[in-house]
Amino acid sequence: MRRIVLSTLATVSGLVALFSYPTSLDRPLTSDATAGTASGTSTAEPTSGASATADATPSPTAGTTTAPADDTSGTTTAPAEGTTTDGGLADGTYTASTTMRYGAVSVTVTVSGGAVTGVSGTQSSNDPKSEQIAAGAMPTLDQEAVAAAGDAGIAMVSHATYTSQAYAQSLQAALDQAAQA
Amino acid sequence: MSTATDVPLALLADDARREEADALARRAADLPARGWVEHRMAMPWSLRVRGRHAHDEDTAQVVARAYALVAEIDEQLSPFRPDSALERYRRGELALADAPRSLRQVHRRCLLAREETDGAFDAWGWRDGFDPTGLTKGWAVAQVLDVLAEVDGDVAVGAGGDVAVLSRTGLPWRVGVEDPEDRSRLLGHVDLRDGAVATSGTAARGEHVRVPGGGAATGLRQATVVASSVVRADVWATTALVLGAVRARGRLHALPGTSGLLVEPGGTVHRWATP
Repeated sequence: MRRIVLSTLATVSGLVALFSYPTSLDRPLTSDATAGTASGTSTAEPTSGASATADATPSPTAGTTTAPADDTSGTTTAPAEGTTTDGGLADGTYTASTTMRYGAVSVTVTVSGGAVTGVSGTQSSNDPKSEQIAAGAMPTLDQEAVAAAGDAGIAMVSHATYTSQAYAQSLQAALDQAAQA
Repeated sequence: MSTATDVPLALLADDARREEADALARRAADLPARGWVEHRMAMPWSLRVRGRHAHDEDTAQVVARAYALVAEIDEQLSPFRPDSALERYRRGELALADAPRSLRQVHRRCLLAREETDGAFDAWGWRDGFDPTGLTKGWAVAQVLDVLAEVDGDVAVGAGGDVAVLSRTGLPWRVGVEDPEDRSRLLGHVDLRDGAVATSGTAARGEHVRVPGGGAATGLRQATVVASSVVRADVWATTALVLGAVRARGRLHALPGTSGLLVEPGGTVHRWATP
């Protein structure tokens, strides 16, 4: 069990190292990872050559450790020992954070059924430019219908290149028509 | 309809931030605005101006110059015009040093793109020598935005799915991302003040992106990249298709200053943001 968690944290550290690449030449990186069932310390050597350490704490901390996917209550309870699949990783969501030149970066890894099923990242920052990339420019997932697009303030649509004929039936064409009126 | 699955819940909508963003987008939508659309380079070019000068005659003149620039770039870089600078260069009748700025710049950007993508984006990897067509559109969009930026207001350019924006009012441009499985719907949106969104996919024109030296790229259904530069966003959206789902995820996560959406063949949507 312990070995499994440590390998998970090593993965997390590696991912943080990936995110940290732009500054990895400037300074060493320190990352704190919190995992529900972990105890002890794991050190990983990312390929960039910078050193990153992941300190795991045994207590589940609200906000950084969430329940496994099959727990719909949304509580921050750590996954139980018994949820580990043989030879796999312990189910749950693991978050690791690191501080970079432009702000804090956190990487979240979702483990379900003993395998990594999701990896995503976010950051907070005091630099306006990277704040825009992180917050405003993080695409919001939505299923917005055509009718709602105008109300939602959509101005332009990014899409795969299509023919002029396909354009005629597109949402962009409808927005163009409205904008010329 | 695509389904969003693998985004950890913690990273989905923070309600307060979401409401604030929606309020800004509504304020932006209430500004005076005017739009134009003309067909150039075999695709519609959508231009937008927002702000108190949107309906000025001076603004219309800047827009006219922007469209004239697209026509000029097309004359120089079209692979379908035997007399274009590109075709003359390809036939060895024109030296790069004597070529117009557009060809020299696009050539240089193609070299950089090939290096940055470790050869995945390769303008020389096609069947008959140098073909910068995969980069020309994005580069042209950037040039047009530069011209439009002369207008004292918010400006936006969209062509072939590449969108580049600039805001002077401080209010964002809200750019939607089309759902490749239902073109009448959006998969998501992004609010930008100074930046670009580029999408590459197999939905609209079939499998038109090819792996250098190989067959059609099929590992990813659609890739949308948000970056500060439209050329960069376009190059990486195309590259993502070449790399396929698994390699694209790893590579794009490591790209500083980007965010975006990847739609896998099964409809799974993967989202990332890297500072």
